Amino acid sequence: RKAKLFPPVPPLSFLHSFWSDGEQTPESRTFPSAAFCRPAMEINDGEEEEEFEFSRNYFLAKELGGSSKKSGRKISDIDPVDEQELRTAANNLEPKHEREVASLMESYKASYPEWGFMLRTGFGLLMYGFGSKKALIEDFASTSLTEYSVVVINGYVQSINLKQVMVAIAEVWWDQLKAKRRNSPSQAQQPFNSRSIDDLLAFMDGQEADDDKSFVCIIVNNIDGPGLREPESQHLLARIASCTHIRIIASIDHVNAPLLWDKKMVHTQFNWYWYHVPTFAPYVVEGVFFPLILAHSSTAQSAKTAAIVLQSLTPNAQSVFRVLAEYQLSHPDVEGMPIESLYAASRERFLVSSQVTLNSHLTEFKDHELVRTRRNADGQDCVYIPLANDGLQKLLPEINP
Amino acid sequence: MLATWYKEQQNNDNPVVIIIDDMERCCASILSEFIHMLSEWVLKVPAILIMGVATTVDAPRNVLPSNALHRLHARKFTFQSLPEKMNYVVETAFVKQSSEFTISHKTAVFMRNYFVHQNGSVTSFIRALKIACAQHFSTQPLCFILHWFLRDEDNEVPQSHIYGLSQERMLKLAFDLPSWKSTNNQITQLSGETLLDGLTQLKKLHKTWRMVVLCLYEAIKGENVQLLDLMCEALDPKGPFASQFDIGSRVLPSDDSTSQKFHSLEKNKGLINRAIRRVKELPANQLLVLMKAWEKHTVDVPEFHSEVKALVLSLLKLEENGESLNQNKVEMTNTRKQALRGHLNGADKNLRVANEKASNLVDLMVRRYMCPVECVALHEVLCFDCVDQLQAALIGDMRRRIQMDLQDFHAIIRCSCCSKRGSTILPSMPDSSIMYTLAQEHGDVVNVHDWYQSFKSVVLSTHMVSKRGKSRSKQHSPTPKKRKTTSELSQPSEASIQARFCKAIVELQVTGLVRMPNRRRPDYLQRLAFGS
Repeated sequence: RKAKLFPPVPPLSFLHSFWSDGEQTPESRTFPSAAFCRPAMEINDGEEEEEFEFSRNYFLAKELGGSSKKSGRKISDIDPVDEQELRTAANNLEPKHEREVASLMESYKASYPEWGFMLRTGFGLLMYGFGSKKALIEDFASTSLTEYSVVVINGYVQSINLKQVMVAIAEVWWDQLKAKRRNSPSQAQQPFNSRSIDDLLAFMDGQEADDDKSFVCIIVNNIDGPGLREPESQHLLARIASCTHIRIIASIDHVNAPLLWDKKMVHTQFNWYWYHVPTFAPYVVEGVFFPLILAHSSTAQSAKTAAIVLQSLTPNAQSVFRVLAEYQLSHPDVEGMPIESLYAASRERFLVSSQVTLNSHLTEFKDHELVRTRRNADGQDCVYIPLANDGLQKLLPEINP
Repeated sequence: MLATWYKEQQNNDNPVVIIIDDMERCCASILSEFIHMLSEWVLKVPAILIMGVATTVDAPRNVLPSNALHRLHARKFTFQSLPEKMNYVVETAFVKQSSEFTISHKTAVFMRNYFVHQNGSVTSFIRALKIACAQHFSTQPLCFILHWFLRDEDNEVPQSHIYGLSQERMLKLAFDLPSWKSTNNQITQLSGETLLDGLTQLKKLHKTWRMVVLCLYEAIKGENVQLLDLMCEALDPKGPFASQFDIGSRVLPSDDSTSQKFHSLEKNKGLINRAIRRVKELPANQLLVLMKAWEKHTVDVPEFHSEVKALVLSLLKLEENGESLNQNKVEMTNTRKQALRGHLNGADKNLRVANEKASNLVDLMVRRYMCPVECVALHEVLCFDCVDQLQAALIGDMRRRIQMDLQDFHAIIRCSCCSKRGSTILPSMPDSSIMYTLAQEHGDVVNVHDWYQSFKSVVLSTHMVSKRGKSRSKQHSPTPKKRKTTSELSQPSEASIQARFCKAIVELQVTGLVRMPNRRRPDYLQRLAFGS
């Protein structure tokens, strides 16, 4: 049916030049006469080629991952430094290419008039590209949007109350209206806090000051951030952006961010105008809520928590744990210490008087996830501490003897 | 609860109208219950149900059970079809317009493909057009001339100082345009009058081009054709129809050699050729209708208009000779048939003559008047041609661009320390770029330890031995001694290397390129994007 409604398009080579970065070659410019008859299906080849490349890379990566021997190395093999030291080093890192990054930011200033023009025309500016764009957008707002009110939403925080944001925007718009009009408005204003979302939207979309070209600009840093990823949040933002007196500038960093929006949101409500503005500025605030991979390595974490828990236990319990730890360190290849052996060793040292006492200690350890049980080859129940040997060694001195 | 609400309902003279936006999104059982309820109360509360259907016309039959359908007295309403809407938009925006703004052939083809392959909605097409306009007005300093065209002050040189541009600057900009330079090398006197001549010619040729496209569209209207496709053909400055318009001359050639070349191309397929053939083959009554439409469109081109008028008169005479004085089309057809039967030979011959004349007319039209705007000097003033800019604004390819930013960072940062690195990974590169490049060597999961070791070795190295051999690395370092001393002096500490590693992984996570280890694989990071 498509071929019937839309007659054949120009030759494949012509189309390819739009969907790839390649320059149109002189040969492709000639207009072969028979080309018009090609069915519409073939024309997609240029696009499909690019898509195939993506999927080809995916399958190659999967193959490579599967075929090569998986390295058995653990994070602990890196021997990560102490967390405090790591964080201090992270805070004191010298940024690279400072001069070039600064000159890149300066170069974007030449585009500020164009951005302002597009914003006034009614488009929503969507900034993307590698690097934090927070400073860039806020610099643009503070230099080129001085005659408008601006509200900033930081999408990179963990949770955002959009109702409060809307109340803030409504109040700002109200203030702007009051400032433009000399006389006070006739209708009594209900406080914005108590109004519903639909009321607030109606107010921001209102017909007041129609001939006036003023608006409230909303800056959303990381509209794809964790606090705004819910569909409801995005729909609400879209409704806000579609109000006549609201303009929106947003930045995105996640490669899958476009999946947040449907057609109506992209073309009608947000009306996105994409700007590629890589800054290579470090993601300082955006990365605050992400854990450092080496700081929370399991060994260091577990050994620390184990030490804290053990210190809260009775001295006898701690000594029983010490017996078990020493056994595990001296017998690295067995599945664990058989419970009978543990009982015998504990009795010898007068740590427990009966099996019941030992069992109560073991239950306590299990509750705190300090030990686990499994069966060995002989069918005996064994207990073991789920920590690496080096962790155990670090732990032992912390236990009271 | 609904029933009680209905009981309280005040019954006015007007029926209640209930609008359901998207019928298929509703739960079928609830909807049918609702319809049942409405039908039970229909005497007390007359209701009209308006339901939007997103898919096919028989969707209600698929969604609702038969007992609910029985209770509905359905009427179908459809909006104008998409192709019709598109044609209307294109006609209004480009062909039948008062503003001279237009788009280049490349832009038209791009917008058509965007509409067909990416997003088949008229809204997105209009949005693309809006963006093209906005970009044109913000980048072309001479775009104020469009306003000058609108004000119809053709006898005066544009007064650029009203728009914030000095007269000299305007002339300089205009005569520096590539289209002017390629067509008017010989003209030495560059003055306001020369500009005025050029602009007048531009306006005239564009107007006649629009007229031809409109006429061709009238000829081919009944055949389910998209005006945008026709426009793309007509806009092509390198197409077979444009070869007549030598970019070096503003006067249209009319020698025999070009017309022969033109006729030889006739056998090719294409909408314009189709339109031409159709005109030749039309029966008399349809030809008359077409000629009358052309009469309206060609008012501004007297030379052509008179020929069309003459043809209309001769066709009308044919009609009269066929013993039909009635203006009604249906009757005309019948009497046409009678006339044909009665005066078969004579009428046939006259019809053939009329067709021949019409065919010559359309040849003339296409040959002499369909000059693509890109073949005319000064066309940059009103023609938008930056397809790349338009595409970038419309379609942001996040996945590809972010990865390209990381891989080809040097094109953006332009630092001297990382220039001409080839395939080597230099320690001066941004940490995230180093990490991203290293990750490419692994499969879909990356062992954290191995990745760290590779990162560390890159950071601590002064020269990485590249695949292309040591000689290249020697070329890259103009003062190897200096570099060695600096690297020895500022050897980063283990803590700082680990901190940089952690931060780079955080950045890759923010961009969604990797995922943190999970419980199943605590020592591996998963790659989520695999290069472009």
